[in-house]
Amino acid sequence: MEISQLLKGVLDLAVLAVLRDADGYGYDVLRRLRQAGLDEVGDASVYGTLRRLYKAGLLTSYVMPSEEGPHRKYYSVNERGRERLAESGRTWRSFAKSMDGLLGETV
Amino acid sequence: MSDQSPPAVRGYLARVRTALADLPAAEVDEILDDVRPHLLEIAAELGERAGVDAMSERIGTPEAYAAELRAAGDYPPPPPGEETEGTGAATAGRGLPRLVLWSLVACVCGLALTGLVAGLSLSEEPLLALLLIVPVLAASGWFVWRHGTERVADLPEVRRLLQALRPRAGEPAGGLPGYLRSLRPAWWLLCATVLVLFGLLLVLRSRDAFLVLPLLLVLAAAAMWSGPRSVRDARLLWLSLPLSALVAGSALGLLGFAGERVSGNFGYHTSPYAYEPANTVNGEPALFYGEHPVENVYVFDSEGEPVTDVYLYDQDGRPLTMPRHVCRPETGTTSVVGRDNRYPRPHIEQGAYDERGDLNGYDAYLPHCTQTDQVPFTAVVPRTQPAEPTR
Repeated sequence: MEISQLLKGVLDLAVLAVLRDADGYGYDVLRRLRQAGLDEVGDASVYGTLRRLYKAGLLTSYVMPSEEGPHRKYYSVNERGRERLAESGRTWRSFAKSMDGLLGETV
Repeated sequence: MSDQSPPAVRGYLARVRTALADLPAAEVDEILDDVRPHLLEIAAELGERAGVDAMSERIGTPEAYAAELRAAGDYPPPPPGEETEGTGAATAGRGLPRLVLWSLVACVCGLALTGLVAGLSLSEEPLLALLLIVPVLAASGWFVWRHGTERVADLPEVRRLLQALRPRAGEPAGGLPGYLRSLRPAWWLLCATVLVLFGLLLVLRSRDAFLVLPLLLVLAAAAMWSGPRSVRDARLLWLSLPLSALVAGSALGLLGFAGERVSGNFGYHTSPYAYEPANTVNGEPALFYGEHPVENVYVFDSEGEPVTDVYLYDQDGRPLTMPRHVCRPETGTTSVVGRDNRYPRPHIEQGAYDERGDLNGYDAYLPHCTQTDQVPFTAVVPRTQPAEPTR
């Protein structure tokens, strides 16, 4: 299975995770995901996911002037977002554990 | 959100915005605010090369980008008929197909005009415009030959046109469009005929045109070949449409040329005498000195004395007969009292009196006419005699 297809399902979790410790504007989020090794994630998918999480009330945003050019819109995880992150994180871990167990037997 | 972004970034964002046009404008603004810093970064990396195409190579076309955004952001799919190039990264922007389309349109118009001018003047010189038009057309045609017409047919303006031309579901399949469609084979035959005829007429008119005849013969063959095939292979429209335009233009021009000849100087290039009927005044034969009509002829003897009652004839003994006018004092107008070749005629002066009896006043209304046998000028006859003809 392509990593990109796997990613689609967990992109919410990944985006919430990279914003957990520090706020960031869209391109920051993308770079952090890439640095974490998620090279396959599409640019536009990240921006789309950010907007979706924001509309779902899991993120807040604020604008900061930038010295280099136009202002930047920063996103930060709010309380609901953190709850979702914790919850989804648990789901993911148990899922990953099951998968590991499954794959451990066959591969 | 105005910004000082480079044109490439603005162009890319504009196309993303267009692709997302069905979403609320405020939401699209938010999306573009997220995307902009990233694009600025990419443009900066590309440096000199930065353009919408170069950026599309890196991150896909704006339309594909918008489609991905839509999917990831759980936005509704675009309404049907809206533009999304979902197939994506391989297809470049619309700039080139649009250029190809409009250069075809320009060439079609140019050829119609060229044909019209060449036909109206029945000369081959306007065909020199082909030297300018054909390379543009060839470049445009080369593009569709290589890449097919899909990308051109995908342009919104073309789609709208095709939709307008397509027979609607309710309508009977026949009708006027159906009838016109059935005439298509005849049209291509007509095209070829007009081109050959035009070539022959040009050669008849001027020997120099013999170079044009083979060209027009080739074009006639091209019309016969490409016309019927362009129904199945749209790429051939790049040949058949311009040819049709050239034919329509030149046919119209030739009709105009023929009409002008029939109504104007009849048989203008068959005989020099054909000019004669034009040299009349009010339908009567008239005398001309150069371009100026001669109304009267005064004769003086070698002493400068006016001579009256002379009869004028031309070199073949034909009397130079003109209508004779006289004054009608009761009405103040003139009328014709026969025709003869006796000169000089009485000098007639016409005018009108106003209420105070002033001649040719501001609001003169009473026509007036005077007639005199006096010579209205004196002539100084040259003393030096012309050389005697030697026998």
